Amino acid sequence: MRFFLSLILEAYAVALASMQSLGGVHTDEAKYLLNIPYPHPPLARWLLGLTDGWSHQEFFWRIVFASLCVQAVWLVWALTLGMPRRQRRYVALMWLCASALVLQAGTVMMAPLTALQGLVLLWLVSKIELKEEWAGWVGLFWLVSLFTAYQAILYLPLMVAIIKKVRIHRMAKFLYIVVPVLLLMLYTFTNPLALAAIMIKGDQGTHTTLVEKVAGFLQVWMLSGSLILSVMGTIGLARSRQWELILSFVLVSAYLFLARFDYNAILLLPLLVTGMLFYSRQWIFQVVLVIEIALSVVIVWRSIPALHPTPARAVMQVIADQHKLGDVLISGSFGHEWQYESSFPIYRYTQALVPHAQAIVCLDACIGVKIPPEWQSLGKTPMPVFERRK
Amino acid sequence: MTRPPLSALAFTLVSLGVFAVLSMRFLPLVPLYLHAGTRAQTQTALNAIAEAQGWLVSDMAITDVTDQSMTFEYHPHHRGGDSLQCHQYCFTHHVLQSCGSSCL
Repeated sequence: MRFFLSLILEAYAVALASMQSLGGVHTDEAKYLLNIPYPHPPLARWLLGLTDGWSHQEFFWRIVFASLCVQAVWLVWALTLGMPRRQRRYVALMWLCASALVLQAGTVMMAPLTALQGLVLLWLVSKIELKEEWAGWVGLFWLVSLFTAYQAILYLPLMVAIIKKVRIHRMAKFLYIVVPVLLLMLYTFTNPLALAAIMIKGDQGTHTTLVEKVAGFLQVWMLSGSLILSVMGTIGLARSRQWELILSFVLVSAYLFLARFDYNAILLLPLLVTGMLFYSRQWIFQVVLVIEIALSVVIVWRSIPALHPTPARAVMQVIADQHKLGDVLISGSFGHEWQYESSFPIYRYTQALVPHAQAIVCLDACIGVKIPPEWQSLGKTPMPVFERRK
Repeated sequence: MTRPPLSALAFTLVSLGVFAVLSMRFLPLVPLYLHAGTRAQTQTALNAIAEAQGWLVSDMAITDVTDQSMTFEYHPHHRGGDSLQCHQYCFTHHVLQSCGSSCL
């Protein structure tokens, strides 16, 4: 039965990955797939970057990420241990049907991985007793989580609660929690680009008004649990009176308030699902699940990813079809997806680089671009593209 | 005396390994954080080089900074077979050269 269920779940994961792959790679995804060294720490993006020569690299990782998110339902199942079987099924389905999971499971982003790490920590919190031998593995897991993405620090209260339960020396507890954080700080200082990117992102947030920030946060919070799970999960967490759950929720919410990005909605999902464990009446689970499914359909329909290729993919495909060699020059501001879609080096347009180039792409209406007379325009591209004739 | 559990040993070894690797990368960058002048000089040089060469700043990773020069790796990211070039920029002469050359 478990094997059969796993197969059905895998089919669901493949469907979610396929949905995300239709439009092509987005700039943040390209950053991880190519292992471009900012803003996040290197662990996961280094692994992804090792495969950047694979022709199906993007789809492979989409399936891996989607499978991890969907199969994590077994961990949700373990988290609900002790509840009536029917209620456990409802909670498991709530995880699978939440809009954040549907919209983000197939993306090659760090947020789904961090959310899964949060789910593992929540599962460890739910365990009544932890043996001494576990402490080191939990410390290593904490180190891995932090070196996957900075956002893992938002689950610090969960880590503190887990380590507190283990019967080891106080100093050892302190080291298991603090050493990984100090190593992450040291890493940050070895990568000035990451530091600059964090500061620029922080600075961007200062230009939005309080009302915009509140509205932005509410939108991401709603997206995380298809509104109904967001509401009921939050109330459940408040009812839990477990400081580690509440504090972690506050930290994630504060982060979403300051840096509002839809893709971070999944960071709240493990906490919201945990919030449902603090209800006992069966009808509540039934009503929440039915409403969640209905709202997820609406939310996913409204924010379904683009089904047509990104401009980067469309243009680079046309350039590759010309079977020429040389660099590709781009005039205007561009994202990392242009680097990802190209098998040739990409440079910002400067006149000095034209002799070594095979194509010039104009993203800014060719302002200041001098196209040599022997070059020709390539048709059927979303923006002006010029190529060398021979 | 009881032996520490395997997990504690693994945590200690991994942490020490990560610390050693990161320290070796951090020490050459210390002037960047200690001297505002060096920091400003590096930032200006990095942006100027990126602008002149058509490079992306995200493809450039600083590996060493002194009051005379900065050393960085240029790694033009694209699908498969990325190349890695090491460059040195002399603040005094405003010259971009391959690593191993002298700024004097």
